Amino acid sequence: MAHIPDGVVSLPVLLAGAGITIAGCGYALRQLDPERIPQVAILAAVFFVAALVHFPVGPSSVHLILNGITGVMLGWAAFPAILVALLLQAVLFGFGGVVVLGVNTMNMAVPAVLCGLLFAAVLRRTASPARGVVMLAGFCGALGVFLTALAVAASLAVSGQEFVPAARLILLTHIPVMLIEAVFTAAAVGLVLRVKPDIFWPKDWRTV
Amino acid sequence: MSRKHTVLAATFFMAVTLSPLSAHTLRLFASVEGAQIIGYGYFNGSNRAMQVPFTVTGPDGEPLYSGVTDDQGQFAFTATRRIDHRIRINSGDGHAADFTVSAAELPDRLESGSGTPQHLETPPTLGKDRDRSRDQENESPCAVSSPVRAGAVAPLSAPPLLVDEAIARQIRPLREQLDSYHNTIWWHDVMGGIGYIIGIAGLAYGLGQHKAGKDRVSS
Repeated sequence: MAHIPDGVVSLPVLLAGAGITIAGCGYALRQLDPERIPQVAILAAVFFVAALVHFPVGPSSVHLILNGITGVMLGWAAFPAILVALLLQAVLFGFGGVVVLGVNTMNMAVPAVLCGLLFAAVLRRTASPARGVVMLAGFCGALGVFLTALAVAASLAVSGQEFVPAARLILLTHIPVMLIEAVFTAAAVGLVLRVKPDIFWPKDWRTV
Repeated sequence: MSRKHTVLAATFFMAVTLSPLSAHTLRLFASVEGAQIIGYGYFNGSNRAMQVPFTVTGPDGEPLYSGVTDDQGQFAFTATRRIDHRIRINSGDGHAADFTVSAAELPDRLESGSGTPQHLETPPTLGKDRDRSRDQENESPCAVSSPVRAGAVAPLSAPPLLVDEAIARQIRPLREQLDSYHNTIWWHDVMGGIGYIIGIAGLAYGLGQHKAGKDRVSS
């Protein structure tokens, strides 16, 4: 379960989550080019709607997260995009919570940014986008979900729950999500690379 | 690109999303029948939270009872004191929900004495099987200490207790429906969220352009 509701995690975790989220958003907004805001909005909307696609897995229920593709496309701007989307999900859908918003944003945005950094680093080194890059995008899609699952288990563990059983449960139930997101991210990124490669963050990856 | 990508994503989600949209979070519903508190955990209308541990605490946090929901996500126990019962389920992976049964819903005949709730063997059928079983269900299946048995139809001259219990049972489907409607997500919620995103993005873009304009003027 990627969205932690209010009243589950302890105060230190809440404070750490809030701090990291504020820092991440501050950094992202400072270096955000206003021309990229439409893309940020689109991915925030996709992330917002993604949580509605849910299905039962064993005793639990999971939903798509799509933080992998958000990070690959936006990089650091994934922080404010995910923050806004999570806030709206909390207020309009009742997913997660407002008090625990910082923790949820940290759990989803930090993996997103890591995936974005990884993808950008590899993209810079390739002369022209090849098949391997699309596979990497798929890997990043799954990696985003994987890291989020670990982060959620860690948040619960610091709040008093047993880490290993929680982590195992969350990771196992999210395996279908990882597979779906890997395929979706690879397909979407492959399409974008063919149609408009300039979109990728950072903007100048081709010239570096 | 952006438009094509958005259309792709949108179509993908609309095709896969179930309709009507339902809440994905873990929810809890409980109601009172006589002195029994029965309820269930669920993810959406038809997706029950099976084999999930739950705990019941009193107003001052004292543990009253704990157990595990059955394969229909249901649980049941008998209250022995007329106090607020706070029921909480936690599936161990971050899903948690709670529901408080207020003391006012419990029958007057219970005192605030000490006593541990008893677990019922087979809880009455709840939720979507309600309509089918309503005709057959006409008595509580558990061994409750109460001497009266509530019938499906209570005659007007029946003691108030019988009427209370009969009404509680008849109202329960309505309450379940209310609870589930409360948690349903409607398309207007989705549109509201997307509208907010577009609005915030427009504002941010405008402010960014304004700042860039100011920088150009001052330099």
